[in-house]
Amino acid sequence: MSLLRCEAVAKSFGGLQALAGVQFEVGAGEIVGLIGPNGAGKSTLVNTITGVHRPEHGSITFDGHEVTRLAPERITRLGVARTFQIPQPFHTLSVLENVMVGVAFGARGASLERAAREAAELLEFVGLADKAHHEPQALTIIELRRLELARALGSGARLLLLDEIHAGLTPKELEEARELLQRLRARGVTILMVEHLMQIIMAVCERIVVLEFGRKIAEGTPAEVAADPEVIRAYLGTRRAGGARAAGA
Amino acid sequence: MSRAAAARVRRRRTLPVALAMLVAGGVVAALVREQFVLQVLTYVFIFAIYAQSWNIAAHSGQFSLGHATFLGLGAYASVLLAGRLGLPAAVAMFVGPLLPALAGLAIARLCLRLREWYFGMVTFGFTAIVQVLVVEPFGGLTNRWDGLDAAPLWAGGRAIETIAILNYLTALALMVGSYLLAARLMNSKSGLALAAIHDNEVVAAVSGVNVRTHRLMAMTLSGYVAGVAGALNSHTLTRHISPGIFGIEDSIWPLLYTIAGGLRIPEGPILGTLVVRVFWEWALRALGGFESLVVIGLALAVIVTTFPQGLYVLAARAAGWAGPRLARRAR
Repeated sequence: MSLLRCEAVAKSFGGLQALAGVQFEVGAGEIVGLIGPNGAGKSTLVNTITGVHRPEHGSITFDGHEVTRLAPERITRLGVARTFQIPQPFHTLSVLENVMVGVAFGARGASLERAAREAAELLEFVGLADKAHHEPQALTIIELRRLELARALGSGARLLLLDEIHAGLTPKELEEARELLQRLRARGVTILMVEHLMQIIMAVCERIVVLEFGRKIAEGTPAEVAADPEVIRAYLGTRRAGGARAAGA
Repeated sequence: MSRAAAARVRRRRTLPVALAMLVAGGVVAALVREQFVLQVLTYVFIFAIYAQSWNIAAHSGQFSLGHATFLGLGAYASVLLAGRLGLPAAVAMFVGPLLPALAGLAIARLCLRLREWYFGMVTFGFTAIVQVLVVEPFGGLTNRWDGLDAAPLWAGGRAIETIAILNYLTALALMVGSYLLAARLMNSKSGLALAAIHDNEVVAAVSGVNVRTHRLMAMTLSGYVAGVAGALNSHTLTRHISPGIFGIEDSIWPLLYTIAGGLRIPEGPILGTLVVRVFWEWALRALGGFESLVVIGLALAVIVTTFPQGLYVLAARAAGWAGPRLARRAR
């Protein structure tokens, strides 16, 4: 049964058609990768699913609920959470309080005391327990991504949208991140991840959706997608197009 | 770990602070006989309430540059309720501020998409609009630029000295009340939401916070508290109300006092109002005229550049009981 379903979702900014009828599903328990060249509409899609942007057309359903025109906080409370490509912590709150916001106001709507307890456990889960009372400013970029993850998990997410949480990591950090993803999966969280790093996508995703210019151009297992001529064209260009660019330059 | 963390975020104790303020204020009232000093302190208490109201809005990231709207509307509504309907001033003082509460709600609703300077600009504009409304369409009711006399809060054949003490004690009690209100709010679950909204509205929303209701709630409450300060001021100190209250100065005071004392800290507005105002009065008397203004200006510049987190964090650091939490807040 599909947990998330997007049907003909369209969103434009002025004259720019960022999403032109995107259609796909994410099943409960799946880890799905969302890839595509720069400007393909990946982040716009994440913003549209989470209610930050409202689509002009199409419909988005989560767990049987129509969420297309719901306010972001309502969607979060249903069990959809996200991280941001550029970590955006609450800078005047402590690391612990950052996570508490998610626990207190997300799907679980916990009291402050319970939120503090659960937030501390989540910090332990993502490996930030010793930083609980630091300010976010004192955190490294990797730690900030882990904080984002803890806050998102704290809101009681059943579907987690991860927007490029692996960019710029060293091989060792990537290994740790992969291990964290496996533990996330063990918690039963469904994941839709936007990612540029093919090695991560190939290794952890069961299914991949490829976007280009706001359209879905391919979908399938990592192996299928990697062999798809449309995908190869989108990423590498055709020989003729490449030649034309070279001649033009 | 988890238990320690829970203990750390549990509410800071505010009741002992409130009691200490009441006792200290009471002792001063018992010792000081000089009318002028009592009057300055009464002013401090009233404007600390007003600054606290601004602080509550600021805690949610709504930095108003037109808080005089609420101060003035509260004063007018209360004075009119007491004058025209014959309500006792002590009752009017709490009913009248429902008008600025409503105004706060309306302005917050109109400014929902605005932040920072843009929010400030619009709130600033509203003060001018409200002033014109009070003078023109409602001029018959408000006696236009001449204004209205305000019924005294404490009267009935008492000696002037007694009235001064009663005014002082009322202002003290209400200031402590507004402190408890702000402190409880900031340490509550709603306070956490307001702080999250202050930091980043989009992330707050996708974390499940209803940004809209929290912003409206903060401004409504802020409008009410500012209105009480305005009403108290006109029923005790000024005993008169005129459209001059919607001037720029009265919108600047709460910013000045709160930032000097400690932004987004419940103790901040109180300490700031006390220190700045007492220093101000001293400078006026000791130096006189424009020389005092130069010194005051310099002193404020020194406070803001040297202790950008405010006097409260400075004092707390010196006493060794400031957590990193407070220092973070005051940004």
